[in-house]
Amino acid sequence: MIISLRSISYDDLKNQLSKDDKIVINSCNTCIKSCGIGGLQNMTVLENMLLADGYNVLGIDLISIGCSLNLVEYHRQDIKKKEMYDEATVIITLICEDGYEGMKYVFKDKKVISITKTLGTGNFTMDRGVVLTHPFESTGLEKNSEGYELDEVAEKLGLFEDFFDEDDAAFKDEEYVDIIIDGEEVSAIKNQNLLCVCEENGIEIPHLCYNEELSEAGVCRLCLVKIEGRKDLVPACCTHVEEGMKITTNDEQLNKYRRIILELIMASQNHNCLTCSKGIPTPLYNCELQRLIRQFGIEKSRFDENNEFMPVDNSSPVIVHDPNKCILCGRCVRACEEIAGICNIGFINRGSETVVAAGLNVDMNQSDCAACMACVNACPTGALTEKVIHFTGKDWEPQKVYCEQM
Amino acid sequence: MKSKTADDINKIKQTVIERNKSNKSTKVYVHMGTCGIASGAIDVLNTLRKEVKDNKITDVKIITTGCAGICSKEPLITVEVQEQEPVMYQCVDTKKMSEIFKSHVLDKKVLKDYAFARGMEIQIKDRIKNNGKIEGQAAIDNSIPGIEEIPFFKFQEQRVMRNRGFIDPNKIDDYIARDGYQGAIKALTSMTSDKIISEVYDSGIKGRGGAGFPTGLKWKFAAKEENSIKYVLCNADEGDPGAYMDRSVLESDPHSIIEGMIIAAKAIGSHMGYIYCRAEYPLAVETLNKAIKAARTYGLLGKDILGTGFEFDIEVYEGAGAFVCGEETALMRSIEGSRGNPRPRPPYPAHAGLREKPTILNNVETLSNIPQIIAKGSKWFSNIGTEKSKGTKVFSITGDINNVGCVEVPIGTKLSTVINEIGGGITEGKTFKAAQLGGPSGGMIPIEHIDVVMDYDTLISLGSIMGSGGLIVMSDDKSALEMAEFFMDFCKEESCGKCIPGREGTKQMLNILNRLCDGKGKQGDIEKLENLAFVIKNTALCALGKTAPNPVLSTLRYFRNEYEDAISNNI
Ligand SMILES: Cc1cc2nc3c(=O)[nH]c(=O)nc-3n(C[C@H](O)[C@H](O)[C@H](O)COP(=O)(O)O)c2cc1C
Ligand code: SF4
Ligand code: SF4
Repeated sequence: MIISLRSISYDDLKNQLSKDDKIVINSCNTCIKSCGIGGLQNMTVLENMLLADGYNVLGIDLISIGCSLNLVEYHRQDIKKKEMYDEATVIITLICEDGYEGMKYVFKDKKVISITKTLGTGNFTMDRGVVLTHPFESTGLEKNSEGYELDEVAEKLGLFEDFFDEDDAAFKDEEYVDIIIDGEEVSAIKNQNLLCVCEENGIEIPHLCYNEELSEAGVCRLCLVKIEGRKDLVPACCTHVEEGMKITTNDEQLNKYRRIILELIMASQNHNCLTCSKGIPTPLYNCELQRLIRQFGIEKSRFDENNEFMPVDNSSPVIVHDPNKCILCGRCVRACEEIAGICNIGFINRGSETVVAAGLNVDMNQSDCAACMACVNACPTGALTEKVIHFTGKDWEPQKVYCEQM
Repeated sequence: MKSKTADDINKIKQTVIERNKSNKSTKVYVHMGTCGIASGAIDVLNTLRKEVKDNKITDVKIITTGCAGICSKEPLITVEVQEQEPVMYQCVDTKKMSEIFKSHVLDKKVLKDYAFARGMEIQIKDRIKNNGKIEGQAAIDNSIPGIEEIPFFKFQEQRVMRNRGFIDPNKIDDYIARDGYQGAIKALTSMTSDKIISEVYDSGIKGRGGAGFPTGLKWKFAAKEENSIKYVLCNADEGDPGAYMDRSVLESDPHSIIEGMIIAAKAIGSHMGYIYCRAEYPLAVETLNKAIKAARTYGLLGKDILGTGFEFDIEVYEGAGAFVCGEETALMRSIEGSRGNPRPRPPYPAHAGLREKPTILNNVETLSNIPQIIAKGSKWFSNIGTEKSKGTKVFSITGDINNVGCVEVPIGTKLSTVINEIGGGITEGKTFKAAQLGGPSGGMIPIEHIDVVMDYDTLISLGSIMGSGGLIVMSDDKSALEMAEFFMDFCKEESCGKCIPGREGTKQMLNILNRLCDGKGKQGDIEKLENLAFVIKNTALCALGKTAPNPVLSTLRYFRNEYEDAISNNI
């Protein structure tokens, strides 16, 4: 992993901008995100800061691998984003220095601003977070097998250890609405996603198809909630809060539906956790399906289980696609379209025959896959996994259990 | 080319009417919907043409029309010798055609053995008024029933179907001569958008595509949106098994849909429309394209419609055969060129529909009612129907019934009238068991409710729906359970595969139904079905899923014993 740190302050950034600029912020979704200064959340923070300070931000764009010229070019040409990029005069890019060179190449006609300094390579550790193990000579740091933690490096080199601080910008005046969730009054930004509002207020609603980096789909139907005055149940992930909404997120009926939907998923394919490689103890790899099934205490589906076995696609050097574990949530399809910008994978067939396939239904290595891992990172189950994690361990392996004495 | 104005259109109308009056030739109508063609109408037409040529006659006019309604008697032709009553012949083949030609066309002698009726459908009202006669037409052999005496026609009320079996769908002048485009003229030259919408709203017309949403309201929402780009869409996807009402309109009177769309466009302020027609209807697609071209040459579509400066054009988009593409959001995705999957609503299409622009989508039958609502007024439209549901509804009757065909009846007609009178009763003298309305989204009406008054609300209270008009009749030797299995299989196959209840729930319901039909039912299966039905109804993403359990629920309501037997016989 490439390690970078923020090299400029918010004032330095503003000094490079004028109020007439039409700004697009984009970010790589790989190394820079792990270093804590890229990704969707940080882009949104920066967008809000600049908007509050009166700059003209046209939009933000997440790119699975920002240092791939091809992918950046795809994003620039994407029908949904082309207009935005064409109009932009300034690109603020959250990316390593290498990626910055690429951005300048693709956006020759625009001013491209980088906020980072790249320091070497490193990796992710469970206890210390990201560490720099192979610093570039130019940093003056010695090679160190233990690696340097990022705050240490930042201090040594006079860089910033975290992303811009929202308090440095003017206060953003947002329109707030009052809503009632499960009887509690809550204040939320108008039009904010209901599922996110609930989560911010400590109310977990089960969901599988929603991922905040991706567009809303509303297909798994687990996050259905009741809203007073609406005839039908509504998916929280596709609902935007409005003044006075009264929402019930949890009751017997909703939980019964959720349980049956989970049982339908369990019966639909061969979800065999014993041989699944999802569940490795990193923040990225954790089976969301398994978590829900345990949360609901489901031991067995009451429905007829599907025993048909579909071949596993092992052809890609980096990705394993096991359709038997796929719940057709579509997150990978959206990720490949929206974050990779490629549309390499999609659904084929209809009804219960639907499957995710690469290219025109070919093996992954025969398709246009850029191996960017956007789909793998998006997948909530073990259907798309990184090859290297296979057979390396499980997070549910023995734990100490304490029994109270009778 | 300069657009025709309202005056030009009226002049064309007069000329055509005069020309028809002064034309002394014998007219032979060949009724050529897809149904007619499938039963051999093309061979009949070719034979007729050959006879005309071989006999070197010049005073015969051959007119090809859409379906004449009673599909089980096809191929049908109508021969009209000047100043004589027209005669409709049934089940014509090439041999009969030659005989009819020699006898009726050449020798002016009616061939009684093959005759079906005297008179034409469009004359029914006048014939009833004048005791079975039409002024200027000599009565002939009255052992042939007058068309107004035949129950199939007698109980119908032709509005949407008013031109069927009479005009050539490929001739715009024929349509104009039958008051065609008068609604558009009125809407474009003398009505404001608000006025059009309130006229449609006041008429009380509800969408004929299945959901029964008030059309005027739908238009009002779209009209309120401020956007320079809006779309008017026509849903001609007609995917319900057993339904072919829309096809019949598309093939026999395409201009009525175009005119309806022009009026809708003016009402909401749209300049572009699409007709989403399933590719399995090649004749309908062809007819529509010809009609659109003809309307463009007259300037009834294009930049300056009727010289009023109003711009609107229509394109036909062919669907690729997925039932779910009839669902409105899926239909829009499909036109955009994406996979036809539904998406959650809101946002509703009136706000963000096709290409995220305000859009209205209406069914074929809904739109073809519009020109008359505008031309004749909302009061005229609402003078038939029930208190809450106005106008007529077209049904396509199929199954174990004698007269298979397309029928248009006032809303509020009794089911028994449709089955026993219009439909001519059950085949082979069997008894009626139930009728399935609304296809895979609908439910059954069993014999104990055969006298139900068919309107939107009453049918819902009996666990069925008006639906789009598919009406499948079952005789008492058929199994309701198998019918439920058939529709569940259909929904499972046709669900888009996107949402879990729609995809997996239907599959599990089908598993149980398969088991029951094979006589391998298990204790608890009925409860499981009911449970699943309830979950799917409440949680599925689109109406396909939400309504998929209906046939099961309805058969459980009326024929629970069949389910119970399937279980107890296995124990
Ligand atoms: C699965 C599904 C299939 C449908 N198919 C059709 C169809 O073939 N034709 C149609 O007019 N409406 C169909 N509908 C209804 C349409 O979604 C929509 O309600 C209708 O076209 C609106 O027009 P109306 O208001 O004039 O009825 C379908 C709905 C669903 C859920
Ligand atoms: S298939 Fe997955 S890894 Fe390949 S390009 Fe698409 S998102 Fe990236
Ligand atoms: S592969 Fe994963 S992300 Fe893609 S549809 Fe299946 S479960 Fe969802």
